[in-house]
Amino acid sequence: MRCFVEWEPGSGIDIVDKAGLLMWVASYADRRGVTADGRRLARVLEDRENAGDTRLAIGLANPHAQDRVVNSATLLFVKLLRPLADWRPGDCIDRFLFTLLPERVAFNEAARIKAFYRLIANETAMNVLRVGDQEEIQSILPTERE
Amino acid sequence: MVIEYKRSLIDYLLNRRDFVSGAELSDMLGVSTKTVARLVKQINAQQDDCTIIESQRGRGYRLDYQNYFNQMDRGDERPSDASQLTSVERRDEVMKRLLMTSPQQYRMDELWGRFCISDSAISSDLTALRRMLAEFHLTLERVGDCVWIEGGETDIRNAITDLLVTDDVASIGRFMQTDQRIQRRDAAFIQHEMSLVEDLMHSEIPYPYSINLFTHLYILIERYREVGSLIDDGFRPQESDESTRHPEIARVCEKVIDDLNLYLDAKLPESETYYLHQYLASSRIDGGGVTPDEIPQQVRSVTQYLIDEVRRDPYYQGIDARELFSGLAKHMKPLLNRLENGIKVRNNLLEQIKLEYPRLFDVVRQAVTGLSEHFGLAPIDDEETGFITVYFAQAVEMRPRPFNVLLVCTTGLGTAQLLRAKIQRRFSELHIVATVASRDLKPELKAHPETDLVVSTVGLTEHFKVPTLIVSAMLTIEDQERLERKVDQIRKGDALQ
Repeated sequence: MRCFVEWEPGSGIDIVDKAGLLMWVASYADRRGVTADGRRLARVLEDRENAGDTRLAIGLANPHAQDRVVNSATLLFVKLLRPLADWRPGDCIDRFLFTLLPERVAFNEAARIKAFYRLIANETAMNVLRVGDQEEIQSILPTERE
Repeated sequence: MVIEYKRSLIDYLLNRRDFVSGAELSDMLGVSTKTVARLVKQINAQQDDCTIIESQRGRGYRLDYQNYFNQMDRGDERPSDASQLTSVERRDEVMKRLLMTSPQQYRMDELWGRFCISDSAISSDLTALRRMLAEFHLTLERVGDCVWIEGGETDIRNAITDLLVTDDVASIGRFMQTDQRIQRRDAAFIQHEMSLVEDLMHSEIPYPYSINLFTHLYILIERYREVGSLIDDGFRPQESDESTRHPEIARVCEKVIDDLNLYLDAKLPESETYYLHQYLASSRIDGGGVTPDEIPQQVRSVTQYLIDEVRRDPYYQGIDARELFSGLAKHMKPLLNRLENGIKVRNNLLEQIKLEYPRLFDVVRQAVTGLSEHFGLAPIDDEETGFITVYFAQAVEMRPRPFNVLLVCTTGLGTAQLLRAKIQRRFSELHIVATVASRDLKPELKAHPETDLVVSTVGLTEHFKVPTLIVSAMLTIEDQERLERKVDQIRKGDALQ
């Protein structure tokens, strides 16, 4: 499983809204070889957002997708410089835990993902995701970071 | 089947002296109350000129003891040709005669002559009888042509109880006493004494202890009649702790033994008062009820150990231990007394208990085996295990039905897992059957028909028969309240169905 932490990315690009963030993620995933079809991935992520709130806490969302265009199970944590006002009405969100999964997830990877989500049910771990710095975030993600 | 129902119905009423409701009988037989009424009608119709089961609106049914005895006497037609008996019946007859009259000696011909069987068959009978008697520390002696049983009075009576007695009090009388006039008189005397015990103790003697006590007194009387005196075991009770601990029981026993002395025109050994005391102390006679504080420490430990052992089994973890404790402790107190004094009780519901609660019975059996080892007690047999199982069965049935929840998220791996941890922490009464991906929900619902509610972090496009609830992965206070309301609503709806 691959894990990335991107801290206030977008030098040269100002991510100011939901669409901008999804475009940035699509392009990032393309570049990192997480997907061969960034556009489709962005669509799938948006569909999921439309199907229901993915927030894990105030200021922290968990956009996710399971689709054939995803090559490998990936966790991508993004902390934005400025929160997005249009992600969820009434909440300004600046932290995103993207979870991208292929159609078939290997057994050991599935187990690690499950364990990670159970871990963040713990308030302390969730607080790290909500307010922790880059190092702290990296310390609780489950596997190798890039 | 109908015959079995009738037999069970009569057996059940034989163990109860007051009216029993139609609902209780229908539960016991597993038939409707209408069928119970029909069975009673058929049973009464089969009698010559009397009613053996009385019925009263609002009270139920009661056996007319006198009429039942009369009918049993008339119908008691034993095979006239002894050679037609099976080997088991033959050994039973010989055993009965030898035990009831022990240590009286018999010539072989007196015992086996009327059966017209070969020497080798007699030899097989002797071997079988020896084997059975050995379990009661009794020996079958043979010198020349004479045979007899050697052993202590207590062992002889234990053997009679175990080998020959059923819990049908009428047949106890029949097998021990062939003179029906004496048989009925003895039975009536014992019934009278049992009522006296209940009056003096201000408590009913419940089944199966009533049968146990009846049997004990009956065997005592018949042994005395057959032998003329009772074998002196050499047992001399001291000023025992028991009498001090239960002065009320001690007074009752002295009264009953006095009555027996008058009835038999005898002076029974002092040990009989002690034995009777053991029986009464080993019966569950509450005598106005025992408060939890009055339960001795050993009984508390033993009861708690049993409950803990049974609850080790994941299936029985949800049993309400506190509710179970007081009832079971009251049962365990006399049970420990029975174990200590080698008193056995019959459990005519044993087969039914095994049939209805096979898994629970096995779990309880394992627990009681561990209990005996742990506390250094005598082994607890299946009959006793059956009684204990009933207490656990009741607790299992009282246990609230688990509320089964199936959790859904897009992948089944992410927020459903988060939700699982949160729900487990905050809603202990909810049982999570699975966490699944939304696309797999349909087959998973088929695989888990026990599901009461689907909780999802993602909107569901399809309609399902099972109620659904969409919550946020945050499981906010509002989500929790909605979940509580939904569960409550489903439970109430469930209860109305």
